Amino acid sequence: MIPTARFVEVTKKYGRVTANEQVSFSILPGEVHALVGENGAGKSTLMGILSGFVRPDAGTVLIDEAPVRDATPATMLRHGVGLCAQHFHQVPTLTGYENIALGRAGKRGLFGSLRGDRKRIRELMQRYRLDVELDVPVDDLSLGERERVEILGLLYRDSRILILDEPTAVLAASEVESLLQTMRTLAAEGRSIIFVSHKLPEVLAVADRVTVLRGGRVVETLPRRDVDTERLVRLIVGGSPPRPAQWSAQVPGREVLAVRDATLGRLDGLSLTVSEGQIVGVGGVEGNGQKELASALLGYEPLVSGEIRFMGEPVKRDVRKFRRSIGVIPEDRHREGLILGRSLVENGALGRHDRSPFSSAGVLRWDKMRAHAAEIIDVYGVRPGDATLPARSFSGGNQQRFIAGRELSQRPPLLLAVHPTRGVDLGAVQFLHGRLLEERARGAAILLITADLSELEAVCDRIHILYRGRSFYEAARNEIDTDGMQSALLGLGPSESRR
Amino acid sequence: MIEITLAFLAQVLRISVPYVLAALGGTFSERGGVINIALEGILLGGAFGAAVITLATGSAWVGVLGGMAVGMLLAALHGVITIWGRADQILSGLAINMLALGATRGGLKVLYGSASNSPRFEGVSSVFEGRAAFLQLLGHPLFWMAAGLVILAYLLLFRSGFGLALRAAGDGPRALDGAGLSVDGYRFAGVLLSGALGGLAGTWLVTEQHSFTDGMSNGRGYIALAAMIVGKWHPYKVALACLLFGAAETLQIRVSAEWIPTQFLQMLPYLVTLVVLAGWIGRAHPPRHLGEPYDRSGARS
Amino acid sequence: MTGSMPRTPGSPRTPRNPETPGTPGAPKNRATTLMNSKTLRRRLRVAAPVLLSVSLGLALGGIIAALLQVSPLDFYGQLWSGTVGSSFGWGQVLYRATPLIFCGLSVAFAFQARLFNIGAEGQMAVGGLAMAAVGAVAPSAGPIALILALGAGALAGGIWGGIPGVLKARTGSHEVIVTILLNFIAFAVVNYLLVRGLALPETVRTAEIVESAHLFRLSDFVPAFRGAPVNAALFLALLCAVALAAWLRFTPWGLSLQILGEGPGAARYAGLPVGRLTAFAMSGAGALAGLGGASFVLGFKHYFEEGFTGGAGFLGIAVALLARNRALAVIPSAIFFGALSYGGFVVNRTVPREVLDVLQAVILILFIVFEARRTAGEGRT
Repeated sequence: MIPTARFVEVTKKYGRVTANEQVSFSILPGEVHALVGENGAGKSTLMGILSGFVRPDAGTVLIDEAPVRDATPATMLRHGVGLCAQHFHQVPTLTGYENIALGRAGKRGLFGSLRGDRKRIRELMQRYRLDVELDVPVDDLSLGERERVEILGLLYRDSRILILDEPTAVLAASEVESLLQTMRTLAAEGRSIIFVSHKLPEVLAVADRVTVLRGGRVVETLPRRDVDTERLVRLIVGGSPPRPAQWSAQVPGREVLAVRDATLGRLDGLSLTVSEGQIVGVGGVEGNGQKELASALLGYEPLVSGEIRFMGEPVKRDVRKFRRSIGVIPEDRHREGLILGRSLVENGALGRHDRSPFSSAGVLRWDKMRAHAAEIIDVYGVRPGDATLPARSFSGGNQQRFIAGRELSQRPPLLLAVHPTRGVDLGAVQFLHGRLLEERARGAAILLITADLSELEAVCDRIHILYRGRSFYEAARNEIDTDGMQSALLGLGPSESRR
Repeated sequence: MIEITLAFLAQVLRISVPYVLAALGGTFSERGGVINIALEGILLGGAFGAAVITLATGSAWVGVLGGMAVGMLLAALHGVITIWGRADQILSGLAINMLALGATRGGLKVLYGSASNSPRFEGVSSVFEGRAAFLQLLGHPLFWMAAGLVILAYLLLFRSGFGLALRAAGDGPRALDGAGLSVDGYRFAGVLLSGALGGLAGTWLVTEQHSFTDGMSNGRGYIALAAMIVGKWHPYKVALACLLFGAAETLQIRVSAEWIPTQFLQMLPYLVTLVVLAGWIGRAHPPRHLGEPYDRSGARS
Repeated sequence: MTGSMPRTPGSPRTPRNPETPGTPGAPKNRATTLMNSKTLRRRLRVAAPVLLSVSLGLALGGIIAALLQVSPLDFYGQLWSGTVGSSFGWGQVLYRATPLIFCGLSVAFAFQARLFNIGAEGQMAVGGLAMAAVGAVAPSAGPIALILALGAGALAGGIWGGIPGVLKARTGSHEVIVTILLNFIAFAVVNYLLVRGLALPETVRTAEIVESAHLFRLSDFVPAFRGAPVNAALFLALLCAVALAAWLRFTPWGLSLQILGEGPGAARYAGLPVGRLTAFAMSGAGALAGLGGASFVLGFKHYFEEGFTGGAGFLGIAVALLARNRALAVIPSAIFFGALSYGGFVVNRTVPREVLDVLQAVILILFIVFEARRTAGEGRT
């Protein structure tokens, strides 16, 4: 069979970091080809190269066995490559219809009509069961709907090579099932589907072949029948996976944080409490109030109604004082957790640089700041171990270790961790989970907001699943049933889950 | 009474014309994602170009083209610096304003041997020249051009494929690129349009005054930018904001009451803008990627 | 707005590690030589935008002169001998550089928080008027009048500059457009105050300030400067530059301002008082610009005259830009632009002095383009 797309020794470096090295493999017509690997293994860069957004330093991409030189998104589009990006390439202010028609808009002259083609889009919606509201700005759609708009756009442009980059990350279980179905239908028509995913059960359910990337290189390309979960994990991490952190029972102490009837944006009357020596997890599909909860606790926005109590005292005007007495691992380490252009010396003192010991009598103590950064680097195993390097020259996992180190070094009574392990390598995930459990043993209260259900199960004493801004499912660790949790993501009760 | 009202109205409209044209120009540029502080310099350069070309060719309409051409030239420079060169858009605009101020002043000296103004000339004139102010305005082709351009700008921006793509360049450039269209190309087009419109605004200034005077844009480009923000980057609302500013300025000229100092009326348009910007009349949302050069391989966009 | 007046990612203000190579006394072996050539290359890369834009700009000035049928050599010969080629010229250049240092520092200060202060012109006008008004009525015992006048200038400028800061913090309105608007409003307010009592009848200038508020002229001590208006305000400007550099490097508030500028998300997350910092950055910038009038009002004419700012506030943006917003680098940058500004008057007989205005704009344009290239190259690492 002639491959529709083939990578030949593709290499891409960003400064000193190698994203892809000598990558070679091919995509066949009519197959669902899964691409797996840890974060930072080079999957997204590779797909960027195939879709024309990223220019490789060396190597060639062949489409129908013909090399494509100096590819741009436009040329790749003409070759039939369509990318459904993880953080959708959409114009948020335009409607779904306008986003789909955008490519044609430029080719119809100054006043070319935007009408027409609605019929074709309707047909596509029906044929592939991709139902979505077309005349609403995509900003107002759910992530699942936005994804359907994106896929419709690819089909509208007749893409024969469809790249789906982490498409299931934002979907509920039933939506995932129907997306996998759509992928099989598309492959059956002879199209090539490249399915980039972290979720191995989905990969095993839908893929015909699997290519594993590690450290920017291809480890192996295998037919589906030759792999199982265990083998895939070994290939992905390169050896046996690190041992997961061990949870053990512990009696919680005094109540540290209490959120009552919190209402703000999508948050609609949420109540929860966290006590000393307890990890409380908040899960759910994104956009059900998690952001607002973090936002209220960080003091970005005041609650519309309800209250937050810290150590029994209501937090009102003294939000900043509250904020400065807790530790926070933020959602976005690049924009919030770090000042990328500054060295770890400054980053290590971030937020406490105006207090003792980092400043005394109104003067910065650079010596204390240097020593502190060096200590975090040492204790948290940050590599490379040079505090004078700017934060941007560290990998995601090392940045996250450093942030965790900074936030925990003050032994805060309360730690708020928002998606702490998103986008970091497995080693760092286990390390961070271990640290969270150690802090718990020390007696810290920890509120963990995450989209990862396995993370909730691994470390939490108690979980809440948010749905439409409320705690829709709540359970202590020993009462958690995975089915109930899954269906709660969609707002379904346990009895409805198996319909 | 009716005559006074009409004369007042005519003056409001006349004063508003350059604001409307320049603010529409700013709208095209910024909808595509490029901040255009250079509008002030474009206005000045356009005025100078129109004067020089009219004086050189003796044709008022060739002068209009000349004004637009010089405006587009300065805009193209802004485009090259910010889109191709990826330099900061605000700084580029300020530098171009410096350039336009120095070059027109120097040009006056070199071409006409005067530090303050060009020789007098007849620009495009009204078909009702010499009649009542309001009639005179109604007979002015450039006035109708400006009015037509408001509608045209709306149609182009919100009812055409070009406008859809231009808005995408400002609100979601990555999507535009992913759809196979050139982000830089559409942005450049938006900037060039702003040059043509800004140049036309400058042409109106010299046409009204029948000569070019040093620094005659006198902050109008900045006021137009303010009107664009007040009008939320929407042609109709932008035009309305310009009329509001025009009315404030007319008041300043016509009202000479003892109880209110002229300086207060002078700053009225600026104060109004300040009040609006401060959010007492609702928050304005600029295009989402305004001011950011587009980087195809960049992480977020 | 993404002000991308860039700073090297290596963070020049990162404390230098005493153990790094290059310490005096280290043996001069092959390794250190290699290291030195590497640092040399890096320094060249950093300096390149400044060198290239200035030299290309000056070359273009020569071409313009040739087009105007003046020999470029004559043009630059005249420019040189009239400015930095003579002590009188130096006196003039330094006089013009003085307000440029203040305004350059003003812009650079606001930019620590990534705020564009386009309003230095208006802040300087308001500050100058306050200085003159207070200086004219202050008690002339010892240095009290001088201190009061300077304080009034800084205060008025600070209040005027603080308005856009407060508006930005409260309502998010963009400081660029607000500062531009406030320039126009400042001119109107100044004019109003002059007309309604501060000005001498039939003029646009105020009464003279008391003698004890005068800043001495340098020519009082250095005869070579005879006739040149450079005065003690220059020392005040230099002092401000040094103080600002130290303040940014050694105080927590200075670091907070830079954190807000380089990582607004991080500042918010860390619980820094973002609104207060924003207002502070702008009013500090306003105070520096407000002091910019000292040279004219306290050191030269001894009164306020409408329009005395003469575009120094706008040129301050160019000064700060070429100095990459580093306080100490503002000094040579201001002297350079001061020389070009005064050079206009020197060459005015042979070519229109606007040639030098154009030159300044061209240098600025070239600089921002080269600088964008350089930082794009570095951002990738």
